[in-house]
Amino acid sequence: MKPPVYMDYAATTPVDPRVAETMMRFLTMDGVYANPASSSHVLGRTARGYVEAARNQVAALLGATAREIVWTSGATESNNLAIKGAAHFYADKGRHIITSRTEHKAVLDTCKQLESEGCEVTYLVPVKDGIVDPQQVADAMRDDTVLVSVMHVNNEIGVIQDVAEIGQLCRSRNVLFHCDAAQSAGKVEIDLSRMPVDLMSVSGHKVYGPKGIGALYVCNEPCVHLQPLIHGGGHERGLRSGTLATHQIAGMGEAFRIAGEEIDAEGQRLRALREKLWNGIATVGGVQCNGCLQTRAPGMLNVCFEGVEGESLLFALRQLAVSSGSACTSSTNEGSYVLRALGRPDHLAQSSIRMSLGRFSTDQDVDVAIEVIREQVTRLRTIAVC
Amino acid sequence: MGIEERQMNYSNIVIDHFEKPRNVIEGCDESALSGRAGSKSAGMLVEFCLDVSDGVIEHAGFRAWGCPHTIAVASWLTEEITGKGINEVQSLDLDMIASQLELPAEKWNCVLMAEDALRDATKGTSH
Repeated sequence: MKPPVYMDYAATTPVDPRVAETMMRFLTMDGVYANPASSSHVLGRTARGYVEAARNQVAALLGATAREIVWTSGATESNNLAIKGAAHFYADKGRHIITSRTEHKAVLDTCKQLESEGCEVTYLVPVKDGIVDPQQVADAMRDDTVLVSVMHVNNEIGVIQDVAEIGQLCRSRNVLFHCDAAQSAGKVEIDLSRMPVDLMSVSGHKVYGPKGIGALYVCNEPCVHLQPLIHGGGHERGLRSGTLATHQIAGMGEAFRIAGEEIDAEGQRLRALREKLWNGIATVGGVQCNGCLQTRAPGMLNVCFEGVEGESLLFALRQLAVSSGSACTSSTNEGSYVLRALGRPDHLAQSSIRMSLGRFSTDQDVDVAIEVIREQVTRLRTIAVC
Repeated sequence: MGIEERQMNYSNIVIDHFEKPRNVIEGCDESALSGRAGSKSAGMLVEFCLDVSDGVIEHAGFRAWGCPHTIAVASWLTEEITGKGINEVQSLDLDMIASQLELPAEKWNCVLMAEDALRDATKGTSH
């Protein structure tokens, strides 16, 4: 059976062959396999050198310095470390956190855990297009607010939040600002030397790197402190203990290096493909774009189709690897909480699909998608009772 | 079980009726018996339209909004009940339908909804 056309790059990306080739050099006896913490011998020190080179590569894409990058197992852990770490460390200062209802579950569930520990959390409801108005953040701030967590690019609808403005606001109020940038790193320009962000989560596998590796940017100036989640060995300046996965780290570094080199050209190409896709499927009628169409990550499109049911739609479109909701929540078969937060009625939220294009998407992929979607949506509407 | 897992569980007969639904109607003549059950908020809505002569269903048509199982059950039933008497339709065997279509247990409600729609179409009739 022919594999479906992959249009789920926001869920994960295939590892770029250049990245895979790099990673292979860190696994076997003839490669750099030693523990980077083994400073007593040259093999360990060599491995350490590659870890630090990768740290520089990740930092470079974010406009950060290498010492501000902490390796983690992925963006979920980064979000946990940032939010719990800050809430625990600064508990004496206050116990109020502000976030948005459309954050990734890795942020929302972490906040829920902190609520069970006695923190108070304000969940902002974004305005219609999915954008959090910085004024909403300002209005929600209290004397005991210690942390604001707002994502850069939404994982379901792809809209870009004004993190520079929110960060500026937080700085002016002496409140920490965390930003989940798992969906934006390598796709949307990030320059932390100019953006007032204290903590930023990124992931390897969304940027054509391997799964199981991520990083947390921890601002050095002003210096941000965190209480670690994992103890044992004092790796990563005590913030994240555990033997460093050299091959994963080198892979993520290479992936971020490539992303930095290709971000402009790739963004332009994906924006054109996404516009072609939107224009093509919009002609079927009764299609709405979820989230602001203009302010969004280049390859992401989330649309709902009136008059068709979600599960039938997804099955009818099985020739395309698309997602209903985010990959992390679609297995629950609930209408997307993000779309419901935006005011979409349940039946429309349920008939929404996320299509995310990426580095290996082609013009032909988009042609196939348009044809299949038009054909199947029309067919299902013919069967549907109003 | 999520959508992704369930996709693996569609039987061939469900896929066949989902891909090529039989007896889809555009509307229902006033002379025909029509009935519906469910709602979009409940996740499925089924409508049947039955041409009946002398207590026998000469033609059955349907429209449905719902999952592939819902569409397949409604489509399959239109073939199953054509030529049958109204009284037979009123006592359909749920187990048999679920078994014929190889429905997973959590999808038996699709059969119940279709049965409700058929009962709605045939209510007030007695032969």
